[in-house]
Amino acid sequence: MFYTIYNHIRLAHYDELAGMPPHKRQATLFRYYTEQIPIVIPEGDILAGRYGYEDDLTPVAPPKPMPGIRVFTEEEKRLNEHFKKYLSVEIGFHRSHTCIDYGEVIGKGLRYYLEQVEQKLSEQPEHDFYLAMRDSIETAIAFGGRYAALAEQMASDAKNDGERSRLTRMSEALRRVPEYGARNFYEAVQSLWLLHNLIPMAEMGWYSISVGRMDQYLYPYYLRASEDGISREDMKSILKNLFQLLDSYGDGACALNVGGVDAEGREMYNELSWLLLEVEKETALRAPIFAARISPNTPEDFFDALIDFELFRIGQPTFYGEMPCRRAVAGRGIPEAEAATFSANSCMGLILGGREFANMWGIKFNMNLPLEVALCGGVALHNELGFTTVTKPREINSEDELLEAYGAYLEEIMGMSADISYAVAKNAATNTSDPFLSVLTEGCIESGLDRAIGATYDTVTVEGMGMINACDAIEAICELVFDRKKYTIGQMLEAAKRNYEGDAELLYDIRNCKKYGMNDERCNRIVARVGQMLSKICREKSHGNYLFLPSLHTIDENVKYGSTLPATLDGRLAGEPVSKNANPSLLLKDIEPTSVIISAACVPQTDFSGGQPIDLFFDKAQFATKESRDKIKAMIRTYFELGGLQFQVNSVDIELLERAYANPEAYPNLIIRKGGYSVRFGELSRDAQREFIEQSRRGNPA
Amino acid sequence: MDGTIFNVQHFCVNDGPGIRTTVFFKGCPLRCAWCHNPESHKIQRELMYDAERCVGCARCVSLCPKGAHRIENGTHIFDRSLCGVCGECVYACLSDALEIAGERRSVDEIMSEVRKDAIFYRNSGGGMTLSGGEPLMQSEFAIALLSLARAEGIHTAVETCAYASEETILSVAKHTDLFLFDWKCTNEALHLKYTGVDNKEIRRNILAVDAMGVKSILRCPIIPGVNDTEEHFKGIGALAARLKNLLRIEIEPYHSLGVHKYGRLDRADDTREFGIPDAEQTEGWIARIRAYTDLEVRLA
Repeated sequence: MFYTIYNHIRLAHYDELAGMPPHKRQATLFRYYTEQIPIVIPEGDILAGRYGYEDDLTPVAPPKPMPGIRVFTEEEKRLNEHFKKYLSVEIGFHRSHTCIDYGEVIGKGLRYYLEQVEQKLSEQPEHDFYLAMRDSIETAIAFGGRYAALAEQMASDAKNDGERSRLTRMSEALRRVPEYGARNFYEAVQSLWLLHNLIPMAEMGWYSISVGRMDQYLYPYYLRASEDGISREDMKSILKNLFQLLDSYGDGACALNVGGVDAEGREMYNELSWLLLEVEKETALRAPIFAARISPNTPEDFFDALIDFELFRIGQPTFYGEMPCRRAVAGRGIPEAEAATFSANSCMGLILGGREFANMWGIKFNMNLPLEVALCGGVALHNELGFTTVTKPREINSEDELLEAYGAYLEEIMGMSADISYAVAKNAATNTSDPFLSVLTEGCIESGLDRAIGATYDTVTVEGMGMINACDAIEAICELVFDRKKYTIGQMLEAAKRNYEGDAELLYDIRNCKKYGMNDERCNRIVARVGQMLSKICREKSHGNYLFLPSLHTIDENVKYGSTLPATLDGRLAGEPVSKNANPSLLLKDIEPTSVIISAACVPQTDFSGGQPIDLFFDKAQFATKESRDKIKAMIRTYFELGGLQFQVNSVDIELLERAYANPEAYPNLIIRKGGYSVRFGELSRDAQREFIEQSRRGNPA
Repeated sequence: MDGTIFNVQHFCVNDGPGIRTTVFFKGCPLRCAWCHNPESHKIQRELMYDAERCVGCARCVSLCPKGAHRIENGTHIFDRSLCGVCGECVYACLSDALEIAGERRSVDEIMSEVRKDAIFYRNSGGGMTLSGGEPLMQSEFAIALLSLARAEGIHTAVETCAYASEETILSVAKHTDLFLFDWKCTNEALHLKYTGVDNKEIRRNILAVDAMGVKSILRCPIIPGVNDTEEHFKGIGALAARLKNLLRIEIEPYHSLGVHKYGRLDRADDTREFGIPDAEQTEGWIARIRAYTDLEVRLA
């Protein structure tokens, strides 16, 4: 949607836009977009803010690039392209993935920010970024005005009183918000939804924009709702409509936080948290992600209510360990009290809403590359490295020597990637800025810089792509080369280079080595060391407000990323998915959840403040009694006690079983409960699998 | 001290309270017709051969010191009578068609495995369960594990058919917090017919353990056409009434998940299949048992 409309606008106004300096161009694009996008207020909606159907628009190819200001050096440009094309190291600037301080913006209104920008302009009238900021705020206010006018017109045409009153309520609110501060619960949610729409329009891409700690910032409005003549049922309807809208737009990775602990240690679950949970259960949608923050003092009744098969079935909620997450944020060098204000962001990650811009996926780093370079003596295994390493090749005859060599090359290559990343961000700030989001991101008005480099905190997640594969490869070398002396490093490299063709025995031996996720002492030690090495270089490369945050990505990027990655030394074949999250590699067949939890806790979680969830499946039968549900709670609590940040849940549903039946290799770790026993679905005979599915259909999988 | 076990499984949620680690002992004095773990029957280690997975590569043939493997007309023939269970062939097989059931493990080895999940026991009220096979067949090994676990504050449970001398079971009971008693069949003749032993000693032992004050749960496998009878349901209730420390009754409806394993042990002839109950049938059994007891009756 964005792209088609933006491309039309770029085409239609190419000469005009190309002639503008970049910041002005970005603000103008935003204005044209908000002016031209068709808006609608469908029947039944309580909140205004639906837009656009591009059915009448023919997709067009993007016009030629706009002229930009050169930021990269030739060498940075060459390396960036080479890294991506040949080494699976991708360095980029990824828009969206953010969360503003909704409480403040809803409460103060956009005019408050306009005044601040005007103040700056009074001092520097020609400052092109401040001019663009002013333009973008006016654009946003005008966008609200379009809905107000539409609602007014529809109200005057309304056929009955109910419809008229719905539209009048809408238009009255829209004449006020988001320009001014909201006065009641309805205006607050209306303001929230319009702002939530405006951010992706300004970012020109809707990826994973989150709504922060809703049960906190809307709570003051909730508390005085009865004085404002708004009933609990009314609020519930408003929130249901909001959830539907959140689910209809964007990519689903919109985190809505509930609970938490404030800086003074007080638990923050409240009546609004309960109302939001009711809405979540009644709507049962993929978005928003219900991010439940769990601390040792989380009210048991709320925690109990979250352990619900109907939620787990759809992958909800996601549990966050309040205190480990806070320690992770504080570990970035942020004061404790400020760290306490973090929000779970997107499908993973932690953000200081309104003060941080998260360049999620900023670096997708190939964690197997330094291992291959270390073992090959300073060159890459599968392709040209593209540069001469400073690190000198060294002999490798033990676990320690292997890890030290790995660390040295990791430091060198990741260090280069970090330098390129800053150039990429500067380029974004210069040529593809977002004046509107910058207005709403602390630090930018003060510095006069774009959110890419001018926020109080600009964070870049460094996704350790295939980190678990690299750790398993290190374990395999330790087992097969150092311990058993069955193969040489050279044999293993040659085999991986050949994608293990003709190496059945070696491949079998590698795949039968111990792996991360088994709670094995050496595997745990390796993942801790490798994690620490990545954290160290990220810390060293962070400077000022520009911070690199190690992370193990979620969603299914591991499949896409793996599809172009050559074979790795853990026995993963070319094109196979790499590991996902802090989960074990897909090559580990015998998954025991408690072992996974303890292994994952060995990843330096506090240092990995870019986030890294684990995923666990729970069979439906596990929800049957309070006693059995308490075991799920104990699992979650234990993970957080061990320092884990994020725990994603799922339960078995029929569709999943069918997929596992059709494609057993893809689901080696699907655990089901059968006849009182936990068994792996893939280990059942084909007939038994079929039978289990059929029994599940009949509602009796146990 | 060593024992023969065939698995140590973490994250067991159905073998007693909380999250548990279950140690599966190899060897069982019973031969229940519905058993889904035939590899647990003999106390000796055994080679399991899965013909479905075999690709006929013959790697095992060249490595076997006893000549137990051979290829005839492209088909892999395994002669169990020659097998010395040395395991060479298992390492040679790249398609996982060969597997050894059972291994000798020391108390220290098992306990270091059990200790790994101590934090989960603490947070969930869980612990260690000895199961099988039949733990009482290696009672000294069981006692060594149980007493060590207890000394470390780990809750202990034993799942047993209770077929042993009274002295044996009582010596184990001294170190056990909870028994999961399999109560298979009230009718003595049927018990003998379907398990190979009679149930007098079992009943005596269950009562003797109860008299010691050890908590227990009755776990009753219900097999359609075998023991889904009023006599048995009434018998479960009657036994329960005599047990002062019984927490509840759990039923385990028959399933056929283990039938394919008989073939891997060259015991395909021992395979018995029964009707698989649906939810309605299962609920019906629970309701009928409830008619004879005030205790909680539920699915295991």
